[in-house]
Amino acid sequence: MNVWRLSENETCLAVESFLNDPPRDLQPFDPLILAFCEAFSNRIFQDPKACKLPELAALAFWLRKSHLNELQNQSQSRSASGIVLVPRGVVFHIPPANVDPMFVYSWIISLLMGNASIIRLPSNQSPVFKSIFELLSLLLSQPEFKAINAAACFVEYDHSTQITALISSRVDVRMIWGGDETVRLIRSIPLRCDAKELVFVDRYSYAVINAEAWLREPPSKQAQIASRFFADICSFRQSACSSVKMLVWVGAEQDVAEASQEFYMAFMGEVQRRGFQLELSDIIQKRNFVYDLALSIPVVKVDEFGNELTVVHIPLEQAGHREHCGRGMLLHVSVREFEHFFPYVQRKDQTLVQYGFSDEQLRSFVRALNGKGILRIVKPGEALLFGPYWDGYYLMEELSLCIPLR
Amino acid sequence: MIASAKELLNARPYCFSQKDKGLLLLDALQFLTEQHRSKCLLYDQLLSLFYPDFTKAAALAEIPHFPVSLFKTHEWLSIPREEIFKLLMSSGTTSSIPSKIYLDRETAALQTQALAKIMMSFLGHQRLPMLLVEQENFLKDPKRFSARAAGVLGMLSFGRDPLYALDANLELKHQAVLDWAEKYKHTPVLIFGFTFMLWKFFLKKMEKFPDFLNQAIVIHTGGWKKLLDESVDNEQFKRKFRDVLGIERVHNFYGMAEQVGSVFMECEKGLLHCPNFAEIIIRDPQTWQEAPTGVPGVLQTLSILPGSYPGHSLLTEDLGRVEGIDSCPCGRNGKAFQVIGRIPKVELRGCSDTFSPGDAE
Repeated sequence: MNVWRLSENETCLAVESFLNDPPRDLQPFDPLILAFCEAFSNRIFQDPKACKLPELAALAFWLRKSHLNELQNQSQSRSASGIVLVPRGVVFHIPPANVDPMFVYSWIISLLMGNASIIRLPSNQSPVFKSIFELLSLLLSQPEFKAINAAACFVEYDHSTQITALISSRVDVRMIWGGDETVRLIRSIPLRCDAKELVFVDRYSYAVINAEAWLREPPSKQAQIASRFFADICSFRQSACSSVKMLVWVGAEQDVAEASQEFYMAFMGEVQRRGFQLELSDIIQKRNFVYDLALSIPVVKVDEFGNELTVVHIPLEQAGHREHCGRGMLLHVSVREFEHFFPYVQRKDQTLVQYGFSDEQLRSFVRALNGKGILRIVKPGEALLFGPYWDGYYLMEELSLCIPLR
Repeated sequence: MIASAKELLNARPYCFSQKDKGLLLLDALQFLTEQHRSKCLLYDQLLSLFYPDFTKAAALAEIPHFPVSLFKTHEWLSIPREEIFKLLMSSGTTSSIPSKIYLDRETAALQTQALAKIMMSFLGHQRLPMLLVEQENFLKDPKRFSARAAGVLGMLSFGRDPLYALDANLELKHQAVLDWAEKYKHTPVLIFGFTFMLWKFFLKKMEKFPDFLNQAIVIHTGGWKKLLDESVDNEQFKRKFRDVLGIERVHNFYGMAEQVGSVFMECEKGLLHCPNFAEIIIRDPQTWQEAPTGVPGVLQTLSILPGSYPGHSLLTEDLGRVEGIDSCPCGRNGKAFQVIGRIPKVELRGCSDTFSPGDAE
């Protein structure tokens, strides 16, 4: 595995030569790439320590063969009409600090299209990151994956515009995952004139639940739905851009009151079943935030369901509020029709987890919003599942050159 | 002031048994809760949201409390603005946003009176010559007080002939201190300072001067956070005073800027004590119910002094443990406890910090 520590004063010859003569041996969805992903997936599932970490289990699930075949079919069906996709070249990844496994997703999605990658590693490396990294380096050292290893260059460096500029001037694509500030900072550093940039900025996500549909479900199904929401709300201490931070309840007032109460109880049931607990410092900081919020904007009521869930009911006029502490806090908004919430949809809104709406309704929501906000709509449990459609991009094509044949 | 509060303030500060004190405190704090609710709109709003069913507390643990951090984000006033007599600002230890505490004349007077009660019970009634381990020009703008300055000023009234031991560069004024010590070598004296100041700028510099003032009583406060890197704890702090200077009487006190006056003094046995007019409750962080004696939890502090702002019941970010009730061998009644640390601050890494703001070149 190629990991290089870069400094401003020295040129790293390995990185230089990587940029001078980038590997071009891999085809989109190359059998070797698929074999590598499958091996990576198996490695995680077989590792007794790693498969217990939910972030790694999700990664292993994402990397499994059937899922990648799906991505391949999707990509091929889109470009069936005489278009051939080829790799763009070298992709420079700047992953986020809050979602540790993101560097792998960013890299693999580029790799799937046959690209070579320079991946900047995060400076504070969490246990999740370390276990991914360990497994990865073992795998990349195997002789059969030599070509994959040759096409991946992992770099570490202290914040340096100079190094970022040097790499940026030589690559074909730059992918920046960060908050608005990071993206703004890095975007000010020029790319080669024909390179392209994919940016992933601060986002906000929420769920919409049809109260009537919930009330129609038998208790066992309700428990199942609530348990799916656990991942959407609790992963990464609710700090990811796709973490569900607000619930928009749709229905008659009485239905919403009843359904939401049942939902929160069922959700807490799942929290307890899993033995999920927040650190005391998180609990305290959440409490500080909630008290501050409740005294700063009009709030209808605050429901504390134990340390792991605080629900703050806000009036619809406050539904545009986007500051959030994470750590198990949900804003609760109630509307008769989801359309009533549309005025509060913002450009930074990313994932909508929906429950109880028909395809037709969802399509009409998207049409009505017409690009105002909301960049993906998913089922409960899928908020944090990374996919090729992200923040409005179709990454398979963004990371390819599209060559038409006539 | 109602009768129960008067009784608590006028008696000797550690005289009441927990049972008697509890009843008086409950009455006084219930009264304060109602007063603040009727005079401070924000507090009323807070109670309506977080204690929707509250009418009357049947026990001390039922007196509503809220996070002390709210003094950083909101202005708490139960008096008309024209009655503001003093604004206390505390920079706090974990963030740069200061807490703001508004005092009227009455609350300020109560704080002074309460602190005097406590200090005199430890120092006796005559004013001792006082060595302040602080810089001379420390008390500047009296209108916008830092809580640290308020602490020093509050202590000044318990001593006489004060000497500031540090110069403007925080260097120990060796000669002046030795001259002052010579003058009082046959009398007890009071040495006061903030814990980390005493350790860093005084104790370490005094190693050359043994038997300096072995009659002295040392009183210090401010917490151990700034000494974490040197891993100094109370035991070590006291041992060093004993070994280096022969001083046996060293008392720490715990208190917060949001409740000036009702401080918790460390007794001869090394435990912190609640005076009559203040109380602590340790809360189990799972249930938030009161934790039994000996079980650590989050510290809540109660005080009957805050009349101008609703700060009579606050949840701190400190961890503590009750060590005994009416049972300390030092003879003081009420709860004896220890502060066992701060809740560590774990920042949530938002999407925003691939680069932290300071890294922008």
